[in-house]
Amino acid sequence: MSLAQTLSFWATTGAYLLATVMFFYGLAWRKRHLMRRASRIIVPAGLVAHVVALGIRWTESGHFPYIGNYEGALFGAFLLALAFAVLVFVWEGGESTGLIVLPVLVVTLGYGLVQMEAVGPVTPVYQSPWLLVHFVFSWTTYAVYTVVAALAGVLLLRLRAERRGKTDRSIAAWAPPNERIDEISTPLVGFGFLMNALLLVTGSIWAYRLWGQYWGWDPVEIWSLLTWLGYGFYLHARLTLGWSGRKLAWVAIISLLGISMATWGVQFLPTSYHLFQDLGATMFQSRPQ
Amino acid sequence: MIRPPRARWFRFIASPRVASSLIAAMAGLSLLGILIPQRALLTTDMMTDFENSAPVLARVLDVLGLDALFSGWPVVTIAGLLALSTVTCTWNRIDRYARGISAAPAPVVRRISADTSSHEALHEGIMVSRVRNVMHAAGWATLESPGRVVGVKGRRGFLGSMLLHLSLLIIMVGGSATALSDFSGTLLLAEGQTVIDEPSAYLTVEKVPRLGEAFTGARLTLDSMRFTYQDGQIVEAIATMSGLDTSARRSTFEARVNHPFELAGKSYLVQNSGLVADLTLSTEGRSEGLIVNLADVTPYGWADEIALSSTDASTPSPTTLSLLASPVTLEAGETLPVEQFLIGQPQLSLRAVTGADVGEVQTLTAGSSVEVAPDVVVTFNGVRYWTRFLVRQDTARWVVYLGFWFGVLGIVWRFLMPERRVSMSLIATHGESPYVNLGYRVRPWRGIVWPGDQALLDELAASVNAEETQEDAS
Repeated sequence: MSLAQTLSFWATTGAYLLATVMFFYGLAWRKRHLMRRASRIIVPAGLVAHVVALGIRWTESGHFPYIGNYEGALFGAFLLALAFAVLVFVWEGGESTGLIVLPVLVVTLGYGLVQMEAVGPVTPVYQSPWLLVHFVFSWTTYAVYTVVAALAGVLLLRLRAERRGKTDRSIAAWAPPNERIDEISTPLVGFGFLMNALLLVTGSIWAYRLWGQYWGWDPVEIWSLLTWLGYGFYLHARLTLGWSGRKLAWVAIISLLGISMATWGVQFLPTSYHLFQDLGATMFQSRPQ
Repeated sequence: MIRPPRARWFRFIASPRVASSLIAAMAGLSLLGILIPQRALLTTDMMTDFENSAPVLARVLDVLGLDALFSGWPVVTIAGLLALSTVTCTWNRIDRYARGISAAPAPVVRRISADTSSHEALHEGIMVSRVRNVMHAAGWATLESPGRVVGVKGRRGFLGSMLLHLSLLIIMVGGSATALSDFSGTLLLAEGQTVIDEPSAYLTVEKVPRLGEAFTGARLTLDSMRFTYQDGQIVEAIATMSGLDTSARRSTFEARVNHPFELAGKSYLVQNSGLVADLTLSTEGRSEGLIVNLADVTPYGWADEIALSSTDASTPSPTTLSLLASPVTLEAGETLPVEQFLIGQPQLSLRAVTGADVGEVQTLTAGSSVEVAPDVVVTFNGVRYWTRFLVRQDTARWVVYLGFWFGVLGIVWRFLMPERRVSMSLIATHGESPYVNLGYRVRPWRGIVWPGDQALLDELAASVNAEETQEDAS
């Protein structure tokens, strides 16, 4: 790792960490202005550092950062921060989703830190445009669904506060109205659903070209499919059955389990085609054993 | 249009409760697949370890088919029920679509009071007529009921949803076709070797199709292999291949990982390589070429053994040759370089064993010879590469890909062609001035006004209190 890479990574992580601490401090002491500053100033500053970190990585490696867990976490965290920033600036009260998004952002980058590795050549296994688009769609899906789950979490907190008659405090008072959260979430789920579909399509085409089968019932494949089915159910529930509020929020949160299993659960599996640590390291043989 | 049955079981199968339960069952199956060792996911060694450590449990799982959850009855059952649920739900919705526009009003977004100073009272017939004209001019389909006009645009967006549901069925059909018709095997080719696609050409055949032919008779040649290294790692492994399919059409291709060679419906996927020893065997004045695929890689080179059949009745024990080849010349005790596929000055270490007679290790460079047995001379010509290919035949994958892309197209279609509904309802309460409720809804994008619709809504609102025209009077 070059000094420039290390510095830019730490500048990014530091900014998000600071934003998270400020956010929760503001939440604990009911100082909304701190939460707003964390979301509207510190996170965008972190995004600038993040772009620099990605740019340096790209320049030094000579390829778009899509290889290995470090580059995956770096890119995924960038999309998550970007989605959060868009939510904050487009919808009043959007910063309340920082309650979930900011910790997930820091954890994602923390995982990147653990997996940090020097740049290396692009081995044959990774030389596929299908893999590149699969990678982009995967992390976009992860980012969008995390934001949706954060909105759902905020909605549940708000409903809980309503039940207790304490809507004038904290997140419950600052979050967008309940109907607005449902309205924001639906197009986000729609977009995530499309990204998730493209993830599956491009992944299956890549899998055939690399492993000779478009679908191998690999745990990651199954969880990605379940996520897609879960959010498909969300769309049905919202658009066909007219669900809203608590029930819909739970569907969003439970469905996030799928993408979390696909992204993080795979690390604990004894074997998976998606464990890329040793893939292509010495030989060009592709199938991990 | 055939109406869907009204039976209770039909409504049950089509219900979201069943769909969500099946998704949950699939999630449960996936969790089970992590907890229970799966043959498809674990290596043979791992499975053997499990069978040795818990033989009874392994047997029970095997009998119940739980060690192959994703290729056996559990997933087939759930996927089949999901397909049934999708079909029934879709059928219901097609029926609803075919019945035409419903008269349901859209959620009210504006209440327009009638301006009674300009005329006595808002006349229902005039309002309906004006609204209808505005909507028709904007290309909206309308449905009129007493005191209300409903306009709808973008109903074809529903077809996107249908396409998406259809795609799921296509994928399931494609998946079933794959299970019935795919082929899987491995073959090993040395540089310059040609094989015909028939059973004897294969190293292993894991799966033959239940429908259709397994072997095509096509002719396949590995012309050459080329490797490029960067920082001690292979960054290019290119197999230049040529083929002659059953209709004698010739094709050539540079196959790589991620870029399989397609010939006569089969995909040849580059897996890994090793070295081949190119030898000439001279015995009793006759010479013949011998290509030996060296199967084992050791720190000192690529190794294998071959047995030479004996023609001499006085020496019944055949001679076995132990071969160890390296792509470059190595000093004693020196190990293979990291860039083990870059051929420079190759070298072959050879030891002949005849019965109890173990010969000395002889080291040959390219072009040199050695007598390994009485009147048997081996000449080392150099090294080449062998490459192992995974051979797959899965024509049904194109059906699955088609289903996938239909799904993507369906989602885009559904979301980019939303169904918009405008309603104008005249509310005439006793003793009060009448007013009009203007309703609007975008499906699936609730809470927004679709680009271009704001002008229509303004025009509709304005039409309520517009000056009476000659057309109104007529």
